[in-house]
Amino acid sequence: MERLDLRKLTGAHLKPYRQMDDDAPMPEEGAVLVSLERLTAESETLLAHNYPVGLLVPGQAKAADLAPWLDKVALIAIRFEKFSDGRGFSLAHRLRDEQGFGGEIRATGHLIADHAEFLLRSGVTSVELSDPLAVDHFIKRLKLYSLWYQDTLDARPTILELRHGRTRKRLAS
Amino acid sequence: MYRYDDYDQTIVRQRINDFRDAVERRLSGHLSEEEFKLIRQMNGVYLQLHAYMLRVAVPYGSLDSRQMHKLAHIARTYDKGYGHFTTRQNIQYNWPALRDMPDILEELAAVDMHAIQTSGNLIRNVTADPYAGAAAEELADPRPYAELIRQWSTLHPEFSFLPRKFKIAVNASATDRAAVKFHDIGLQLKNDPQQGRGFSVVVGGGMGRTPFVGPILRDFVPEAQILTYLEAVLRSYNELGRRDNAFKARIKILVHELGKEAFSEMVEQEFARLLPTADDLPTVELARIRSQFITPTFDQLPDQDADYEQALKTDDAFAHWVAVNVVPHKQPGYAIANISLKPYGGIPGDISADQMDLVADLAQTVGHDEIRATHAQNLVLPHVRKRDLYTVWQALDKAGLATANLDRASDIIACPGLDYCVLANARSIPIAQEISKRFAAKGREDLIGELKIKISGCINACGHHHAGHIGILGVDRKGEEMYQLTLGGSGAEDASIGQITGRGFDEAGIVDAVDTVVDTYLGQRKTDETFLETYRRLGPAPFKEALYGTA
Amino acid sequence: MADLKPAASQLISANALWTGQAVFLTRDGTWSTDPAQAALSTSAEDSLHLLEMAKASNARAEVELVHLAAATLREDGRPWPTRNREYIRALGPTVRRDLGYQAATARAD
Repeated sequence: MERLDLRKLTGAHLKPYRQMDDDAPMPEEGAVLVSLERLTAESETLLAHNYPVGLLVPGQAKAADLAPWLDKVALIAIRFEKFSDGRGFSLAHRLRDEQGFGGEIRATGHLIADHAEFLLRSGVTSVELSDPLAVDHFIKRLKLYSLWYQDTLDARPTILELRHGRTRKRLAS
Repeated sequence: MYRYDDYDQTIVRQRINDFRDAVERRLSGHLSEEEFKLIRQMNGVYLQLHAYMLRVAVPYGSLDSRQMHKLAHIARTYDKGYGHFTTRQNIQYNWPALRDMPDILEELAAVDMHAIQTSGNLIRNVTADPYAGAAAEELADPRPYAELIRQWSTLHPEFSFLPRKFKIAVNASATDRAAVKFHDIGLQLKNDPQQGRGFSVVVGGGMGRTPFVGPILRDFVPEAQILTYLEAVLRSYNELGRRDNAFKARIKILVHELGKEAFSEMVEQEFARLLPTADDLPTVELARIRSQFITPTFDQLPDQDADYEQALKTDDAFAHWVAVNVVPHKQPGYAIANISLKPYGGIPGDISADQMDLVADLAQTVGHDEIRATHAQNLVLPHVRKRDLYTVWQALDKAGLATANLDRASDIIACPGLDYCVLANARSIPIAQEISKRFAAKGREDLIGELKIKISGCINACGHHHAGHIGILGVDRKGEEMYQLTLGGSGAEDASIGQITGRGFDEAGIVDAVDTVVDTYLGQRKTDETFLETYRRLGPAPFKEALYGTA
Repeated sequence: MADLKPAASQLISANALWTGQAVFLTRDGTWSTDPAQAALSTSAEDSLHLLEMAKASNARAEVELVHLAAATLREDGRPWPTRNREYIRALGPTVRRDLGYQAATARAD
């Protein structure tokens, strides 16, 4: 498995996480990914370990259900079951915008390079890819786009901000 | 007209490079057929029976002469000399090769056009009233809103892999010429005495296998908050829309299955969450866009023109065309001229490259450089001086574009059907041609008056048959093309879904059946009653009896 | 497009990836734009065998939309598709005889 940081365009610094089945015994060391069910059932023992524990959730998970764990886990991994299923984009968006999650969100599963820029702008920070060539395709694509109309959830300006020479203000204020 | 700035232009160019890259990845085997299909569709490229099809976006149906000339150039250079205007104000080419696609897209970009999001499971081209900026009764020009939504929805990071396609229409007149109640979201502009300008929002209308006249989800959303409200609806749909069955994946099914109230509650909750941090820039941007849609500098003219009046008296054919195809303009001395792409016996919506050039020339010389495409697959010159109408008509007539049949029986909407489309079960175009010929031969279109016939070659209903006063649906029955008849549909402000009359007809039988229905109407109508009014008064019984006899 | 089950008297069709043209699989595994040149299957097994060749071609990114089409032998002994959709693919739009493969025949007439 290859990893890529969507902002830094390298994966060298990213930790590999091992996906644990719900009934698999925990390893002695190394970072692990567990399901929400397992984390809920075994939180005390899991979080007492001295290795990083990440939460692996499908795209259809509800951000609010993850809320109690967001400050306790090392990362959230969103699994895309199929490349055409875009629920993971909304989940990532909600984790950032609704839940205020500031940690790493990693996308896994059936990803294609055409997702790259959409993932980044939805709040996903890294991807896990099976094919080293796919990493090149992701990087190529991320370099291809320099502008976007929509809010980016980070400091990068939108076209509207550039066009009107200012940052956005809250409508309500 | 809206002109791209460097930012809009850059987005389109980057998307073309991206598409080139996707083609490379397909050719080198890094994208599977299934993956590439979705990606090419997001860029407007279909694979049909005979060839690829490229659907070019005509945002809110607005074109200028430069763009129309370019469409003609593309038809000649990369296609077979013609194009086909669709029911969503777009134009499609039926024969381009994949290898030429990036070049075609570059040609389009040169005139501020693209094919982005004309297919795929995402927010499609935003449509609007084709008479925008010209209609006497409109509240405001709907196109700035549509352009704002076009930008917001273009390459949207979160809403590009929706459960199914998503269509938005904007209308700003009491008369609904954008079919807002048959869209995933229909926006109807309105004024609120307290809150100013905003929209009534219809959500979950649509045709296809399960047709619905969309309910109003919210009676009023202030214009400054419209993108926030759209975001709330789209997020709810992206999260909850069905993904297990493509036929049940549209938002109409979600709204129907959850119930309007439950869905509305969900959207309201998200809307309330988003509002406090919502951005004010769309409002600033709307003002910028609006400044580009300034009304052309109209001449100050008397409403009547002596030469025009004279031509009406001396040339019957011209007078007839004016009576049928020309409608009032808000500016004295001006008129809205509809160009029918439905010649008797012709292919609905098809237009040759030469005809495109002619329409472009007319727009440039006597039409304030504006052209519109309508969802009825016709074109419009929205701003023509009455004194120029005779010249316009003569030029159109010479080019076979002066058929006087707007909203008449032969002004038929038809999808490409089995002659082109990979999804179709039966042909649509030959049925439209035969019905059109029949009415032309009988010469009684004026007697019949307004009659909207719509034909789809499969249940996806691209020909809007559900919304036809007379609707025809092609089906495949054991290898034979058969046609079901529906009556009483409407896509306008009085929207309704047509009811099936009974067993279907074969290719010849369906033309006779339409004739029978019209005869029945003519025999039963009261003075000045339209077909739809008569049908709504009488119900299906007399029509069924005429079609099938008494059971 | 409803998929047919492999059976005798079928041919394999697809669209060329690069041009989009309708193409038909010949006995030697190449593609022809003329259905009369296509291999007509003699049995379900034969259809499956041809289908495998076509799928390999799809995997090489040469064609898309590989599918089986019912066909029969014409009077001249050449195969020809029988169903409406395939018939139209073999010729061109019925409403534009000047377009598609039929155009060449029409000009020759």
